[in-house]
Amino acid sequence: MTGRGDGRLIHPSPNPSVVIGLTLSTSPSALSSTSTEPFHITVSARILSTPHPNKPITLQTHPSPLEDLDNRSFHNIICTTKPDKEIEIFPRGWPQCRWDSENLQSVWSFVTIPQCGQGAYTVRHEVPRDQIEAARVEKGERYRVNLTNKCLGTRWWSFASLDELGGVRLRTWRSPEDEADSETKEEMDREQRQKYGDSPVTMGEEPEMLGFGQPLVETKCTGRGSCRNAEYSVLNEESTACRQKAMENRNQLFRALKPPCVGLSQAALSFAANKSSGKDVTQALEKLLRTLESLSAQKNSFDEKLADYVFFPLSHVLRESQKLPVRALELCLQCVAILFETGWRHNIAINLSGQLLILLTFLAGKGSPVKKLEGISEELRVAAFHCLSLLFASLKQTSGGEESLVGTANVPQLGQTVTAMLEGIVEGTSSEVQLFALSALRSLLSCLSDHDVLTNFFPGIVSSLAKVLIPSAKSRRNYKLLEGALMLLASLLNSILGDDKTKELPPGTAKDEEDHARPGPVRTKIWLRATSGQVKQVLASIMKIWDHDRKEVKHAIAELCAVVLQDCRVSLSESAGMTLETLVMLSDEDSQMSRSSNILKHLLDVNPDLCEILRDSLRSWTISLPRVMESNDDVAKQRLVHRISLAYQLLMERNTDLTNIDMVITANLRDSVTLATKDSSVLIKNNRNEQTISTLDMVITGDRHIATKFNDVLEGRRGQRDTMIEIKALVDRLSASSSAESLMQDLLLSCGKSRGELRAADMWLTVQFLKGVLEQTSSIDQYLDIGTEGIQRPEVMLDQLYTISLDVLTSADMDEEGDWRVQALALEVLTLQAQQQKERFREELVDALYPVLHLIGSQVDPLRQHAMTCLNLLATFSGYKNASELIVSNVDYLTNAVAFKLGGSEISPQAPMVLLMMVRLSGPSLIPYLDDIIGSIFVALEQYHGYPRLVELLFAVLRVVVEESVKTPQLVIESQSNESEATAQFQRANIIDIIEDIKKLKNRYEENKDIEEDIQGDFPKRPWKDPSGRPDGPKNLLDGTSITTDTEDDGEPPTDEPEEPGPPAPKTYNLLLSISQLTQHYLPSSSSQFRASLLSLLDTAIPVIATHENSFLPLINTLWPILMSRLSDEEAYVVVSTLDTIGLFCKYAGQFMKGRIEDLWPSVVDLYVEKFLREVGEAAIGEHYKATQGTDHPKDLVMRDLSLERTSTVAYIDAPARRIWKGLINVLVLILEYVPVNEEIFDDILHILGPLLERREDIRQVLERRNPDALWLAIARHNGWAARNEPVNHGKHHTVSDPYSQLPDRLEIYRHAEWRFCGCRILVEPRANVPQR
Amino acid sequence: MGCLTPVTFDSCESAAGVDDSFDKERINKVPFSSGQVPTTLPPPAQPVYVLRGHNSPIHAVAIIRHNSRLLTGDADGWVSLWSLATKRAVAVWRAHQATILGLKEWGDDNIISQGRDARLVIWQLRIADEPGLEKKLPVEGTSDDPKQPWMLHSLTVNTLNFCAFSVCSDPGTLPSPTPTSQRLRQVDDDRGLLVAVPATTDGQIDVFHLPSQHRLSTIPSPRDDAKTGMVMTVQIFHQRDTLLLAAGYENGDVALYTYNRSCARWVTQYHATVHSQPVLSVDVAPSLGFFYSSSADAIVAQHSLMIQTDTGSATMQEFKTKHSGQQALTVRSDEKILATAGWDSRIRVYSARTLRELAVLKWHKEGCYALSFATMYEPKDQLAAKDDGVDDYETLTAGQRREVRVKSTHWLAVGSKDGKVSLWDIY
Repeated sequence: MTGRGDGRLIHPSPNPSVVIGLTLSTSPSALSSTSTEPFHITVSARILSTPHPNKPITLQTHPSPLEDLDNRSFHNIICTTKPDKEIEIFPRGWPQCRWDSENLQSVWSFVTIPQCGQGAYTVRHEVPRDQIEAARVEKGERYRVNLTNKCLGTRWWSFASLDELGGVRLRTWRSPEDEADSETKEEMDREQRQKYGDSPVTMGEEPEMLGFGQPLVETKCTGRGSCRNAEYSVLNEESTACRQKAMENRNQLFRALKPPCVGLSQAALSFAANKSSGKDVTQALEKLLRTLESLSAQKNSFDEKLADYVFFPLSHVLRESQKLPVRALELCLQCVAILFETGWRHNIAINLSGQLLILLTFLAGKGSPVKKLEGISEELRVAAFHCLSLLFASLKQTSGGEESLVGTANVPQLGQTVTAMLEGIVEGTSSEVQLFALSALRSLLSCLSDHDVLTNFFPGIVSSLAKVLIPSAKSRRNYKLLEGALMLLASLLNSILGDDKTKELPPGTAKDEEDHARPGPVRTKIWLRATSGQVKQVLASIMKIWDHDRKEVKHAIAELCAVVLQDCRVSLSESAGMTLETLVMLSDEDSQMSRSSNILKHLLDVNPDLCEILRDSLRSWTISLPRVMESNDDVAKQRLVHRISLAYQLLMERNTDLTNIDMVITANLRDSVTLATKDSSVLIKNNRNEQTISTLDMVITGDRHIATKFNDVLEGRRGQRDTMIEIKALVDRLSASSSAESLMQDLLLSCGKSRGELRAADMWLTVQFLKGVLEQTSSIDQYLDIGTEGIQRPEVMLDQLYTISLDVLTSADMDEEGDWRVQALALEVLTLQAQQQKERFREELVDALYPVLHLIGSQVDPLRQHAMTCLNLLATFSGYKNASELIVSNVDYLTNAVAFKLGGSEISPQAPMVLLMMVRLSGPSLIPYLDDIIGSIFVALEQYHGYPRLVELLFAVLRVVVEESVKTPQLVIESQSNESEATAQFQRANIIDIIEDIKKLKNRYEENKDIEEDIQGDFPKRPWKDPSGRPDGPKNLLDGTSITTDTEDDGEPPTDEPEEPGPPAPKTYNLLLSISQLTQHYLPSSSSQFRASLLSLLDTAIPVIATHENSFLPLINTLWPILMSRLSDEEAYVVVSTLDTIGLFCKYAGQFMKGRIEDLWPSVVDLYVEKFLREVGEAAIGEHYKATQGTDHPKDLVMRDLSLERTSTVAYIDAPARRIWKGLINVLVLILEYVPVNEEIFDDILHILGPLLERREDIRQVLERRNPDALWLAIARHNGWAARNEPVNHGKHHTVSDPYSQLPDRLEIYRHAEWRFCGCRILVEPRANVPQR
Repeated sequence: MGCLTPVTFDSCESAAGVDDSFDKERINKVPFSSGQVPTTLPPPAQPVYVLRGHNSPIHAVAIIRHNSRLLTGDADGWVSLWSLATKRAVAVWRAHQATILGLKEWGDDNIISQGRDARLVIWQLRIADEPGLEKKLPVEGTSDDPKQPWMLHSLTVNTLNFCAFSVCSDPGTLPSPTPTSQRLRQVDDDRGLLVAVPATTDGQIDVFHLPSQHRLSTIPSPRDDAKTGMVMTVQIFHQRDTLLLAAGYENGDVALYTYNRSCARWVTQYHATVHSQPVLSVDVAPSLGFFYSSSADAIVAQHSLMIQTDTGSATMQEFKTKHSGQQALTVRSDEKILATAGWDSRIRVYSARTLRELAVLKWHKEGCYALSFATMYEPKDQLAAKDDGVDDYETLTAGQRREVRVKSTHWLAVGSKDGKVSLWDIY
């Protein structure tokens, strides 16, 4: 026991530096894979150097190899032949921390190492057999036993044996300066006295002053046991074994090296004497270098003696360095470098190394005074730095090398060297210089184990490294440099500030700082605090390069973080948060490489308190989220969200309590989503699309458009999209968390309350959340049978959200003010609900279906897309084949909804559109349900007649209604029934008929003669019945007389109307009728298309309405005046439609139209003349027309004269006129066919249609049916032969009175005449063709 | 009761003592006197749904089976049974060859219908029977012979005067266990049924027993001279243990009879000429102690069921509503409100206690003839109405929740001349 003592307190000795050597061995020396005998590792400790050689040393052994096998002082026994194999001797847990500052004996064990020369303290550890077996050792494998560096140390030691220390209390070591503090001392004394009485106390020597030499041992598995005590001794053995051979090699080397050395020596000497130029030296150097390079492979034979020999001539060169060319110096340094690598590898003369250090520093330094070297010394500097790093490597191997470096005399020089290196690193002119400087520094640091020296250099090194690492705009550093610097910094931090090194620092005082007795700072707690503060700042600025492009740099920084977080956990605790954040950022950057994230996960697993730190970071990130979202930096947004998401995941996996975070996260997420998407709504709103009417048609027809996925509502720009994807991922994670439910509740609550932008965000989040939750539930559902509550919960939440969504969709302000995104999200919720409820969702359609269809008619394009997708999905989920089946099956619900929409105070275009689609899809069966809706449409038409587009739309609906109504089974008409009747109507009475009739009359007269005579002069009381079954002929003939029988109701009016009073399908029929009647008010509409569409509506309805004549004829009466005015419409196609409608009237009303057609006739002729004739042959016709204008019937004249000639003169007729012409022809044909018009009109028609006879067989047939004679006459007259000579009656062929009926080729003639008739003016002389008889 | 004053919502709520769940905004309040139009009227109330499907005027509606089904009958004798959840017909058949006058349920399985073809028919139509029945509505065109439900009984009754029948459970010899606090619309299956219909002689009322189909008794006309004209409407009901019957006559008379069990006779308890026109409808609020009558004139009268022993007559208040022809007066089961279906196509809702007009519902374009309220359940009963025994709303499946929702909705079904039935959700 040394040291000063005042009886009670024993103070440490002044210079306690002690080195203890450890030796490892194994017994048995070879590991047997089969035997069961125990395998021991023996550790023996002896004192190597001590200031008190005759004193034993007692030291505390926890944790150290002297104590136990399982206190982590050993590494696992590693197999050197197969890298993945090892025998585990690690205990599972960490050694327990034992700490009692006042009486160490009570907690720790102590051993005494005998004094120098008196042997060693030996302890034997048994490696458990089962561990060896577990490792499956095999024959031939070699194993290495290793000590961990960390455990080579002690917390307490003293120069004394355990016996001497008996009765002395051992205290934790404190620095003497601390002890000197009188207050503390007194207080302590008092305390201790109370506790322990007067027994002496010692705190031993400074633990740092006890060093260990680290051995290792390799053992071979079985066979010849080869125990190697340490690597060093192995080498020694080898060298003795091979001494003979080595000597030979050495001699060879010497022989090879001698000539160039001699040459160089001479050259250098002569140069020094100014006898030769530098060129000779250079050549000699080159020669030497070549030789060295060729020999450098034989490292083992190249010993330091040989190296010294070679260096001798080089030293001459170096001496002349100022005069010699740079090239020579470079070569020289290259030679030196080879020497370092070979001969001086393990051993270099201390003196020489000192000199070289000075020289190399001089060469490497920038501010070299040698002017000659200035500016061109880059390669030289590189070489110098290279040599430096090799020098330090050699010194490290050389015994006493390190001591020589840090020896007080050398420290200033070392400082200069360090400065030069740092300067090279920071300001090196090329990256090569920087890199070599860095490697030199690395080499120096690895060589220095003296903490004090390192501590001196630490601030300088760190700040220089920081200069390199802090990203700056002006210089981009080589990534290798950055990587190296980071690695260096990491190892430096570890060795200076590592927790194992700083754990037991003396507290230090302020006074200490001012103590200039020792150069540089003193390692105390105060120093540590100050340093760690500084380091924090440096780290903070360094961490900015985390998003460097190169993954090497990222990995390096991850390693640095790992060092800070793990090895310097206590000392750099202030930097932990920052470092952790960086690590998280790195993890999300290289997720695919996952190196950083592995580090991170490992760290979090090992240190639970890091989770706390991470949680704090997470919290602050979350809080900053909205602020970042407000910025324009999309990358930053994505990174932050991703980071949050990652951190959340990590913490969740580690079961950290995240309740507080959850609170913050919902609110901030909402704000963030709002901010992140704030311009997306604006973006789309400008995008409004006006073409909406066609969309519904698309749905009806569009199986090809089935989209099965929603586009994301909140997606705006590209950058936003990525951000939203990140947010989605975050939400997914949150939804998997245990607090998902409360988060959901929160969101639901605000969904119900919020408005506008915020609501969109709320809805979006909730939907995302629910999706996540539901997915999980369903996946859990598949595998597990959990109690019902667990599963019901999300459904209940979905239910709530569904209710909110329905409110959104059905609310009154849906059309204008509502945020379309909220609506789109509501649609998504419907789909979700449908997905959950499957077929049960069908009942919900009562409320849910219409809004979807309504939105399909929306003006916002994405919303429309959304609605279509939603419709398709609803159909799929609720088990319908497709969307149209869905609509058809639920058309009653739609009817109801549409009725409310149309009956409401305001009408949007969507409702009629939906109605239109419904009717088209469902067909006639729906019509009976629509009566009140049609009523509403009528009312709407009345109220909104000033809105042409709406009116058009409403009529489009009506038109579809009409089109579908016509298909009602009861209303489908047999097309033939009416026609036969109609044709019968105007069977012309020819002469034979008249004769027949007169005969009949006569007969009847004969029969009734007696009766007639009875009631002479009286009108007949009964109508005459026609016994022949042909009612019309005689009836027409005798019309005048039959009118009188009005009191009787059994025969007259005649039989064409059935007795059955009501129309066939009352509701549908009445609808049709009232729609048709309604058209009268809109036919004068300003939109020509609308007018045409109304007319075509009438065309569709008329055939059906005509089935009930009592309604039909009044309708004609109502519509007639309006139709007439349409004949003068400025749009040709409207005129054509009007003509068509008139034609239909004629077709179905027949006789009823007679008077009207006759009234109309002048305007038809007008039309014909105005629209058509004028277009044709202005010159010929026009003049004629003008000439005859004064007469009563100018048009008639024109027609009679010109109509038949027209075909030849027509050159071109424009399209509208041609259409009218066509329409006119059609209507004329129908008039001819169905209406018994008078003969004048017939003649006009004949004239008009004449030119067409050639092409239109039907026209000819109609004309022929009506009045074949007139037809014939017209043809004949045209041809100019028959009219003059032989008037021929071409009526009934069977007529006996026809004188020419027997002619065999009569038809032939006719056809011939016709041919000539069409053949225009160039004709064969007609007379020539008359058959001669 | 003099001229009615304009009623604000606040006052009418307190006056009516109506449920707090009144949805004020949705009720279309029409101001009584012109010139007092409030500056901002709430949007007019809309029906929740309109059931389309009848071709001819609806003459009878009844919400049955714990508010899960709705029965409607039209002028052509067609009856439709609708599901209130899906709003779709579950059974459609032609019950009678003439106008349906009344529809009621008997227990959960049976339905009573009365047509002008002088028949009163009891049909068995259980939930299980529904799938087998025709669902094609009359408006879609009638199949000639749709399948009818199983006919249990058929009774020939006088239906000349458009008077609907009335039923109540047969108290038998035992005093009725019916809770006095709640009017029973649903009839106890076990103990048979009493059916009140007009007798063949004008002014008389027959009471039949079902299922025995016996005529139990006949109530004579309240006036000896039989000048009351036809019986227009009857209501047979219990109050505490007493069996009562309220009737309205063609000449505007209203009468209340009590069944004296000891002598097995109906005793005229109250008789008054209230209306100048034929009475159209009477209904009762037993626990409130009133019954109400409406007629072709504009008066709705509130009669007390309490008999003042000294005068032997009950008090009566009449309210001149200025709207003549309020048919189908019906009191809701909680006896807080009553409603009338008007020939002017409006439905008027009154407070049952004060007869203040609370709301006017307008949707139909033609006169309304029939209405029916949903049975009001206490919140607790809503769940009790189900048989699952699940006591937590949150644990129900979505389908069950929907069912509960439908059953607890405060439906009001109105049938109109236009063949449509509107469903309202009010108060």
